[in-house]
Amino acid sequence: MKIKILSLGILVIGLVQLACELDGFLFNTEKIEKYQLPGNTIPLKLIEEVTFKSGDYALFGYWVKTSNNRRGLTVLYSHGNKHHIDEYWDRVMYLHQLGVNVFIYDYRGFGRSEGESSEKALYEDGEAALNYVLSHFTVLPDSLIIYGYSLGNVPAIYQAAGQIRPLCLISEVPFASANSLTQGSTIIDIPPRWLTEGEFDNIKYIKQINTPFLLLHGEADDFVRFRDNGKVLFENAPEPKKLLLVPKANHGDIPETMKIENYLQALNQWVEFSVKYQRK
Amino acid sequence: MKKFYSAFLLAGILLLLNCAAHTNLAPVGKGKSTTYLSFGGPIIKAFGARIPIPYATIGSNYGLTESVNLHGDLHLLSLAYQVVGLELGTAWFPIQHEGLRPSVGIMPGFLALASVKSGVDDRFRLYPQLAGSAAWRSGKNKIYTGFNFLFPLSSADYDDEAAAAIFSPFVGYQWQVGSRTKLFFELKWNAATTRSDQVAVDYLPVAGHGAITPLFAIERSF
Repeated sequence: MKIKILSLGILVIGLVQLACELDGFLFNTEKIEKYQLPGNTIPLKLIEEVTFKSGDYALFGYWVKTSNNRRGLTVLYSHGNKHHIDEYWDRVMYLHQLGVNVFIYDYRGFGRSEGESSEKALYEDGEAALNYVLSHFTVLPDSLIIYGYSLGNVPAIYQAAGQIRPLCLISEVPFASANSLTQGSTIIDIPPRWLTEGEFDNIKYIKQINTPFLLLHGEADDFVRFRDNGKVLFENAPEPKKLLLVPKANHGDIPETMKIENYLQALNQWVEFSVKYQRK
Repeated sequence: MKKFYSAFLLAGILLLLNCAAHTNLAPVGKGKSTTYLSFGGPIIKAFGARIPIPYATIGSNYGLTESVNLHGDLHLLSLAYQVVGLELGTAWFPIQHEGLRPSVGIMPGFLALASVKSGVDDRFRLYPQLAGSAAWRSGKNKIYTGFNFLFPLSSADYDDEAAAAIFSPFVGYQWQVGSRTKLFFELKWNAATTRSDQVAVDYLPVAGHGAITPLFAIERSF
């Protein structure tokens, strides 16, 4: 009996403690020795594992060069909260089919990257990745497509709101802020910071972007509801912008739900539009 | 993906409303009082299982007249988030037990939330509430049902679909244990008219709405 009570007590304390620490849930702490790049179909000669510095920490990433770089474009991809680069390698392979270079990286504390994750570190890591791509691979800002998926929209929108003017920003299933998630779950209007430590204020930064904005969101997203996340960001984003609300798509399956070829076609069209817009 | 995120917003659900069993089923008698401890909360999916959130409140009923109780509840678990939650209200019983006739209660009140956390700009929230209950005798015990309406006075500025009232029906059973102690088990459909299938927390909804919430309480009279 005492053991049962003790176990229940530990569970209760654990739940409370976990709930109090936003970062502990948002960020991945699984460490790995080696990336597997599961299901990779990209020729290995085009793939380069790289490390770069963000503050005092070494971050890991992959530069995937296209063999068909007819446009000289590069996608800087910031992934979601789950695991690390391996989890998102299928996305790298999709984007590679666009005929562009792709750069993907792990934030502090993710995969092989050193350090500990935090909201501040996300911004710093995003900035470090951007600077690395621009300087090391001599990518021009106006040939850079910034792509954020879910949590990755925190660094991606921040990158697009910075000093450079990238070709375009593509946001897939972004949340509007930590508070938008909390309020959606509590149903009531809980003020900012009551229940969360982080702000993750994508609304603030989306207002500052100066590049064409494409938003992809699933109508059936059961985690980041469109109504109080994607819609809010879209309404706050400056023109030019386009919303692609995908019927029946959930949080992690937009490309598959709309079919890969349609997904790539939609991206392609937005890139073409952005190139033309840039020339105006 | 959702599973991984779910836990991060456990904090969010802990303040989901109406997370106390409904102990106010009959007048306690003029000048008499009861104290109760209620625990339980919305069932969510976390750590690979369905578990109720261990929300806890402590409260007291006081008999103002032979047909009116006053009650107050303090939310305990929210204190871990430096949020003080206090419910105050009254219960009027215009119809009382007689034969098959139930005891019917009408309970207006409010829930006040205040954050004492540093760095918070907006510290207070007040939610008017209205509840109703009907309880039938079953030997020494009671079976009861009812509803709770909570009225958010504000909504997020972006949320043009926010509900004007949050409706939560419930059913429960009360056991009389000895002369002074009662046990309660209640099943509540929290926020039954509100969509809950597209939010970060994996609730157990019914037809995509609300959250199934088991609640337990123990009450001692004085």
